[in-house]
Amino acid sequence: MNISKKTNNKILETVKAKLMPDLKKILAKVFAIHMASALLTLTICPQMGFRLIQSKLNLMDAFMKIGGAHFCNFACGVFFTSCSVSFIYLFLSRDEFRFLRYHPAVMVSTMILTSLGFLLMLNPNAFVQFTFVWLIGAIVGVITTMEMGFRLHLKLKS
Amino acid sequence: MVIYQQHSPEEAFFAFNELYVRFGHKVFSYVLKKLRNQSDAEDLLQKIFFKVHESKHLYNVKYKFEQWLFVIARTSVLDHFRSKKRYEKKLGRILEELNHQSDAFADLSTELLSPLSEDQKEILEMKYIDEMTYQEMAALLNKSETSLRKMVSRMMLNLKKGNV
Repeated sequence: MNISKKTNNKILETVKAKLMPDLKKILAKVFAIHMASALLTLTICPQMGFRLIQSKLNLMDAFMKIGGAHFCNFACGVFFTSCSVSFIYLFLSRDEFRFLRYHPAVMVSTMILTSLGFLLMLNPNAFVQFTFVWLIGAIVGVITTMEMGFRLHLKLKS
Repeated sequence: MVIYQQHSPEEAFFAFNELYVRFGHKVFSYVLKKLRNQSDAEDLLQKIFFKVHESKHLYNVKYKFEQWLFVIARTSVLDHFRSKKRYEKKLGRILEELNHQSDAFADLSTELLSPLSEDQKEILEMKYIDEMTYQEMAALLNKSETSLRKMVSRMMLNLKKGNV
């Protein structure tokens, strides 16, 4: 007896849908996780004037002490986006994360545009202080964390 | 399999397709031999390949893919039989319980309805067992709808009070 065409199609279509998930759904998830992560990360940086929890941690101070304004901007970009990517790695399925890893432009543009919009909304004045260096830091943060997550996943597997 | 595990989604799908074409029939024959039912075997085949997809990260290249695939197939067949057995047991228990309950209900209803006259019982049966409308009952019993409504509501009230 042969496998019916319906079953063959169902198996292949389901796996295809898992490997290549709906972009809109992934973007919605990335957006939600990034927003939640942004709220958390901003609690330890006074620059935006948004502190959900009063803590003694002061990220801006620490970065400024290490390397001045440019370093602070760059490190802020890296930290802000890499925290989000780490959460995304935790909450998205393996296939969704792989899809994003192979479509970095989608991930980078979504995260940076959302971040800029979010930060602008929180504090338009502080946003002016952000520079091109911050953008570079954000791109570096997204790509390196994503790559590290993927490699870590492969290493843990074997 | 490495392409399926690590490469881009497009390449991974191509690799899965290839694996399915190569081993799908072998797995299906195995499952069908065990289950002896085409539709059950197809359902299980789907489950097996979805399981393969979900656990692809657990596959170790040191072993043959076919070996790994058949371990999953064998486990799935065993799970299928186990859950079928559990389901049959549960179903048996529920049916037994239902029989017991319906016997108890029949005893209770006979006892409760015993003070009613045969005509009254018939009216209640028409209304609540045969689920007839008042219009249908009126046509059948040659009575007005209003009087039937009143009779039913009065009987129900008395039954609730327990003073039939």
